[in-house]
Amino acid sequence: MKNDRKSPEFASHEYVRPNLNWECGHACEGCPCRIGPSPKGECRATFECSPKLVTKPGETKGHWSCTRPKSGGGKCENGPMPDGSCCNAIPKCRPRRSLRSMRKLAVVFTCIATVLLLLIGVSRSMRDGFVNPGPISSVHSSEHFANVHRKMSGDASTCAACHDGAKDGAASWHAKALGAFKEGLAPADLIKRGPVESSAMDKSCLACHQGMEFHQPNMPANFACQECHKEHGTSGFMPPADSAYCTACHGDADLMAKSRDLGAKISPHSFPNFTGGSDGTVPARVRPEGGYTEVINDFHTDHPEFRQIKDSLAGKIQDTNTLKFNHAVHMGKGAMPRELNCADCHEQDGRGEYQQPITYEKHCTECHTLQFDETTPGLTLPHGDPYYVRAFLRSLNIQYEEFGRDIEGITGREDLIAYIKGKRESIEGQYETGEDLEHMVFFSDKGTKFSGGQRAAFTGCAVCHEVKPAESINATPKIEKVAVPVRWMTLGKFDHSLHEKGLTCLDCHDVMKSELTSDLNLPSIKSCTDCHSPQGGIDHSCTSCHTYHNSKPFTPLGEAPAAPAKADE
Amino acid sequence: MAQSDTNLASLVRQAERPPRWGEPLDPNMGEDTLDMLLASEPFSQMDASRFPAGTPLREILRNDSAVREYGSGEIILRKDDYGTSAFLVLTGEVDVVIRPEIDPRLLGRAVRAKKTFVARLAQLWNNNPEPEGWRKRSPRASDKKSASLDKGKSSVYLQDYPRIVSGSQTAKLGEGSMFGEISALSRMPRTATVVAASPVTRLLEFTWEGLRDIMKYDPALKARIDKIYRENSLKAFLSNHPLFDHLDDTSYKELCDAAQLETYGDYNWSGAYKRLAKDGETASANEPVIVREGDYLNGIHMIRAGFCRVSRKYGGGERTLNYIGAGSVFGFGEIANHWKKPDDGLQATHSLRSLGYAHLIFIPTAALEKFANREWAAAELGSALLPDVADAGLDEGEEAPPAGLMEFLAEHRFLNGTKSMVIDMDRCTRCDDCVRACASTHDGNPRFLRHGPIIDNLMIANACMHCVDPVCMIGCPTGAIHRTSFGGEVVINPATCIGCTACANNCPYDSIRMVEVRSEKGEFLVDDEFQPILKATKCDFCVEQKSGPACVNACPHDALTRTNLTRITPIAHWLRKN
Amino acid sequence: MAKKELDLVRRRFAGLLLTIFVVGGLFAAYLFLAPLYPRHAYLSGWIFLAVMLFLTFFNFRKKVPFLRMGSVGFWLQVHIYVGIISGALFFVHIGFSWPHGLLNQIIAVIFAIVFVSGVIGLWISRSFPKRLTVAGFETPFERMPHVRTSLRKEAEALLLAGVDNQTSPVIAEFFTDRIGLFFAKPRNLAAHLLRSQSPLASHRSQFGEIRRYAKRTELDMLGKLEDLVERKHMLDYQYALQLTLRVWLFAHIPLSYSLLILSVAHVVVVYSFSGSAP
Repeated sequence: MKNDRKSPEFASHEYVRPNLNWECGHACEGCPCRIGPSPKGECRATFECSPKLVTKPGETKGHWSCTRPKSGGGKCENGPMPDGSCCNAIPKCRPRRSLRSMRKLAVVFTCIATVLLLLIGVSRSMRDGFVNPGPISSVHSSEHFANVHRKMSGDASTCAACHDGAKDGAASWHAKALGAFKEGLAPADLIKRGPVESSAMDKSCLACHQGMEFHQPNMPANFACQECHKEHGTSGFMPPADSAYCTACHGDADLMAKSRDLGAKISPHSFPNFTGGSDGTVPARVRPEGGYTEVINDFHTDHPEFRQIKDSLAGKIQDTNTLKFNHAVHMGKGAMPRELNCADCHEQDGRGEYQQPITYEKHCTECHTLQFDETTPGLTLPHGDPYYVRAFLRSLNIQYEEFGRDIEGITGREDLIAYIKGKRESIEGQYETGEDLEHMVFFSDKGTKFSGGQRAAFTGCAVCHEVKPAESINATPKIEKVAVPVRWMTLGKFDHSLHEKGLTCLDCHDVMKSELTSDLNLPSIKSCTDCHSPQGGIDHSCTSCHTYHNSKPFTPLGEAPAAPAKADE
Repeated sequence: MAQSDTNLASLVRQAERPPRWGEPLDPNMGEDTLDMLLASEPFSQMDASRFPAGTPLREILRNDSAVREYGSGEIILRKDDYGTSAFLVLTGEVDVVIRPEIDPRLLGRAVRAKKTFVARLAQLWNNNPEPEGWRKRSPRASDKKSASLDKGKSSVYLQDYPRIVSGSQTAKLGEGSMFGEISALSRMPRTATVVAASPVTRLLEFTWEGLRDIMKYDPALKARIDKIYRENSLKAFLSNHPLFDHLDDTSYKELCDAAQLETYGDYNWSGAYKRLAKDGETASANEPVIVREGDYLNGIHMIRAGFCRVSRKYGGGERTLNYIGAGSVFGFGEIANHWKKPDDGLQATHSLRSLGYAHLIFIPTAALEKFANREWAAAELGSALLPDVADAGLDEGEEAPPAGLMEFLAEHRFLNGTKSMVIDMDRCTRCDDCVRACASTHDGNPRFLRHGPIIDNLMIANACMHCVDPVCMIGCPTGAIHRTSFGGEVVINPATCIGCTACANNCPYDSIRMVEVRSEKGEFLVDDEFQPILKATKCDFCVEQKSGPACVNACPHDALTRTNLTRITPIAHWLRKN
Repeated sequence: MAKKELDLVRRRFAGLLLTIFVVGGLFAAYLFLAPLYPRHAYLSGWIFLAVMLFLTFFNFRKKVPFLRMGSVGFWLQVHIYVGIISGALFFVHIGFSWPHGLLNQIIAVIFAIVFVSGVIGLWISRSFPKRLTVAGFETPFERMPHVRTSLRKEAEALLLAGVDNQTSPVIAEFFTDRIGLFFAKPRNLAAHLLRSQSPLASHRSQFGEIRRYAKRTELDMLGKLEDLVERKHMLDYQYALQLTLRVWLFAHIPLSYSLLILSVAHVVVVYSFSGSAP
């Protein structure tokens, strides 16, 4: 037999009331009581009727009559008890919550649980970990940082080091939030274009880090530290600032024009200027007219040529080294007794980043010996100070004597006197006076000649050095100090060793034709962008050469300048 | 709540059962007025001894009638309004506006009181948590007896009345005339607008219950009213039909003489239908045949009330093509075709059967040829008014509802409903939001059952359908169940409902439920005999809510609609849209 | 019926197109505009909060069916599409990377649950009604305990009446061992959700088996009993699906409120820690 799928039949004389929160506990037995639970869910069942005392005319006592209504089944068979109580007690039930009422309950419980979770979360011990939106950089999460912060402010929470909100506890948050909503994060502020301007949180940074005036004073606005320094991102070092932060302004022609106008109104003295290398070899750079306001979007597209190259081409700067050195001759083939390599003179330092200083003793003596007497090639002048050179020349007897005894090995006194006498006569044959000899040694610049052996005949200091006549009678001629700059481009952190792979020195430094010391021999930006570009695949971010801050930001964990306690010590 | 040890006493509260005449129509009816009435026609002719002791004539007049005074040009009845009272002219004259109709904008219909915004919003917290916990003061805004009657609170005058009616065809009714009895007795809308013509027009207004009682005990009045009713209703019907609205008075008379009234089935058909449903036989085999397919067609049938099934032979059975209700004409298409091509035979192409009760007017072909407006007929042939064609009223390319659905609706007599609740069960998630919405707009009590017969994916839920012919109203002793004057929603006035269960028993669809009224604290209100006081409740189509029916508004899945099933067009539209 | 589907398809297509358009716009804005606007996370956060409030407001709209403010059906449509958009907004707000902080992670997880439960709910409310309609034996949820009880009583009465006023021990044993408990409460809900016919098939085979041992006069009674078992299966099917149609909201609604509370807390924390206050 197949079932038809019609609905089951049930009494339709009553409404179904899914809007009620409670239903009779007997409902699942199919016989809910007529009374039903109260709106609060209490069972109200008592008896099925309230019997009525009927007194017929003539009767004195009357009798109890059942009053059960039709909907409850009509008058019952047995009728009321003699004392007028109903004989049908309704069994009490436990009213059942409707599904929907349970859902309401679930909503209430969930809300309470959520609020409890929040309260626990923002309680003193849990708060920092609960609201922290992400890991803090290693420096700011270190024990050391916590100690310094505690000493500075007496605050236990490290969050308070940056966030004002963490200082006073959760009870003050709504006021602070409202303050932020009124100022700084008002609806209109949310659609302001970047970069983010300096905000109150910067004060927290400045408690440890140096001042705000670290970029150019002609900035239209001061920018917030957090614009570049993103905290809560990683537990390692804070990530480097992205080039986009720089080009957000420097790529914006309007902003740069604004900056240029602003810069024109500001005293030039308020701009930080590069004052030159500490040894004076690298000349000071003057801020160009209009400041550094060229529009730059990328290193490889529109970054201007390096200042040094530009200035040297314009003749504004040159190598001021007093040593006369001709790269073309030294690198030239055939002219030299042996072929020279760059590395013969430019030796890398231990880290490979810089070159070791070039010294006469190490790199020049092989060829440029200071032998002034052709007959005594082993006797050479001292290198370094003109005073010693003059003293040497004025004590030639002693010098020959020492040379004869120590080098030639003449031990007999007579032999030694004869040896000195021979030498004196020889030198006196060459120069009329001692002064001539001195003058020749200092000022001759005849050039270097190779005769026979490898060694060049010494003709005078002036071959390599700039020698100035003595300023007074007793003074020695003055030789300008030789100084090779350690680094011409002081901004960039250039590491020579990193560039050795696949590149020779000559690929960047075109010295084969350089005949003058004043030549800078620096590579143009074009030789960089081949590799430092998206095509070359090598890093071309701004921060690989530039720092936003004029002086290097320092980390004060040892000697916090803002801590007055330290200053007292 | 104190617990009683021996009986239910703690949960009952003595209350007064509302009596039949709890709220007289005119509370200020004085003894001298009654004396005056009883001394005048037609009451002076009545034999007071025929009236039973419980309902003496004087008391009927005291409670179920009122003397109203109207000024010249004041509107008494409006065409197309629903109303349950009849009028007797005491002094003065009234004009019955026959044609053309007065611009409905001039009629100044009383706007039914709706809940204010605050009152609606208060339903959020004011609703009683106790099922059927009724407050002393009913929360409904319109529960005044007068609201169910035509004499509204504000009287409306037609400005410059003589000019308005100057071109109209009007009929004057003088002293002793009666009007308004057609809609009072037949539950149909007013057939004409009636305006007071004399400066002082005094009328006696009857509730239909009063009229019914007097008719019951005074055969003379019954005979008179039956006669007026027959004449007036036939004339009113024919003159309102576009086929004949061009005729003059004499032609009408001739037409009325030619026309025959036909009644099929039982007037109180709900009882018969209930019996049939019990026997499991509702098929068309039991329906009286009015016209059989293939028979010679000797005239047209105009349906005045009730419903008929239009079917056609299909294989071994009959396929229902349409069902037609009041105002429809059957057989006109064939006759019109015959006029054009007289060579074709004049056979009925469809069968016509009455569904339950049907009241028809038969007009023979000869009278039709003489009086029918042929121009109009030619233009309207095949349109909704002449639904000979099965897909009448449907848009281009629109499909008629499936035959199975039509069969189902006819079998269950659902085509009586003007606002039936139809639920698309393929979309309904059974969330009961409609029921909750209903409860929230009815003081915490739902007023329908989200359950009912299902056909395919459609459920006709057990909510009051607001029938074209609300048989529930037949037995109401107090007129508590009535139709709103404009719109015709069937509503129950709880203040005058005496809980007699007549309407609930009469409703063929079990859409009226008797509830046991409780106090706000949940105590059953009982009478002296400790019997619970009952009230009839049902869907009132949210007549007081400005938002319309809450159940439709509340359905999140667009699964529920209140639709007019008396014609196939609305349901077909909804099925397509959804 | 073809037209009905077409209309529905068109409406859904329009809604979906609009949603895809908005979601695409959001992602494009994130890619191209966000780098220019450093406070975009605040902006998207406020929009997100507003969207969440709007979505929650749907629940309140359902509570006031008597106010004229568009049908709940229309609101649900908007709720669904805005809900989908809120998913995209979520990703834009968190910047397509899972948050690290505890509070933020809790919020993200709760949002994910609310969103996913919403999607599941949508699927349920679109697919279950058709299954319920096709299955038949339509019963209002509140009346199910009643129907279940009456089925059980009917079965018990059938058994007690027995045949020839005598219940066969074989059938009595069969009833107490196999069938009795089946009528006691809803059974095989998971199987019904998965449209598995195996519980019914198992019962049928059990009836097939018992018929071998039944007397010829008892076969009629067994047929009636099997009929009741089938009805109970249909009732359980209705129960399982209607219960699921209601129960998914137990995750969706309470957690939405939880989400709102936590989101407000999140806003307060973020604003008070922003360091933007003077």
